[in-house]
Amino acid sequence: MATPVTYPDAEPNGLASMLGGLIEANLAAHPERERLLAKPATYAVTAPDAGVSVSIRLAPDGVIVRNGVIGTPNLHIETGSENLIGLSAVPLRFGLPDATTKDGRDVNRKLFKGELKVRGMWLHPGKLARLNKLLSVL
Amino acid sequence: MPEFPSKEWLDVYVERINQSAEYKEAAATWEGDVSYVFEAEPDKGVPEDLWAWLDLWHGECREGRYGVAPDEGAKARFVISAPYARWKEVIRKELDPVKGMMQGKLKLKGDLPTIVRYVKAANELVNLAASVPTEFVDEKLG
Repeated sequence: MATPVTYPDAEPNGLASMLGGLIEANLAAHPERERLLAKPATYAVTAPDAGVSVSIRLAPDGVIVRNGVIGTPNLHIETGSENLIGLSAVPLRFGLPDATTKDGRDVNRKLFKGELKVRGMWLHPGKLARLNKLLSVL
Repeated sequence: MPEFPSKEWLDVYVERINQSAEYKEAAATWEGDVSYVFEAEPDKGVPEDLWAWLDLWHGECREGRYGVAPDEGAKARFVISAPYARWKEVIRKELDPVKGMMQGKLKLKGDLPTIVRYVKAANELVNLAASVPTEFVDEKLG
C-alpha cells in the first residue's frame, strides 16, 4: 500500500499527526499489520487535558485520520495525553493490555478508576484489539 | 546565569544530562542525535531560527553544538521545533512536551515509534532543561 494513512484536514492537529504517524510508521515497519485494515472500523480518540480529539477510520483501502470527533464511532477512547502516548508501549496479549505485565495491569487500573475511558469496548473488543496492534510500538 | 538561548545555556544543559543517573537509565539503549530548533520571534529577542544539536548515545550526551546550520541540523534523527516562547514554557515546565506535541505547539520530525518507546527519557531531558538556571533573552529586553 503506497499511502496507507491520509489526512483530509488542511492542517491536521498534533494528535492526528502523532497517531497517524505512528500507524504509518508501524505499517511500514510491519507490513503484515495491513491485514488489520481488512474490515472497516471507526474510532475517536480524545485527550481532554490537551483539548484535542481525532477520528480514525480503518478500511481496506487505507486509514483516514481527521481532526475532531466525526459522527458516532464504534469506539471512543478518552484519557490524558501522557496515558494516551503510554498505551502504545504497553505489552499486548491478543491485542489487549497484557494483565500478566505491570504495564498491562496499570492500564486495567486506569480503566477501573475512570482515568481511561473506552466507550464501546464491550461491544467491539476485536476492533479495539486491532487499533491497539496498529498503534503498538513493541 | 546562562541566557536562553545561547551556547553557554546548552553547555550547562549537556553537563546536566551527563550528570543525570535518571537519564542514563531511561536512555541506556538510545542511539541517535536530536536537533532543537528555537524558531525566530524577533519581538522577543530571537531574530532568526537557532539550531542546537545533541549527540545522544546510550544515556550520555557525547557532544552538543549551538548555532549549527539548518541543513546540518536537519540531518539529525529527530528534530523538535517550536517558537522561542513555547520552548520557554517547556523549560519553565508550564507546557508538558507530550501535550504540546498533541496540541501542535511543538513539532517533531523523526521516527515516532522510537520516541514513544523512550518517552521517559524524553521527559527526563525536559526535567534537566528545567533544572538549568536560566535567564530568558526576552526578559532581558524589558
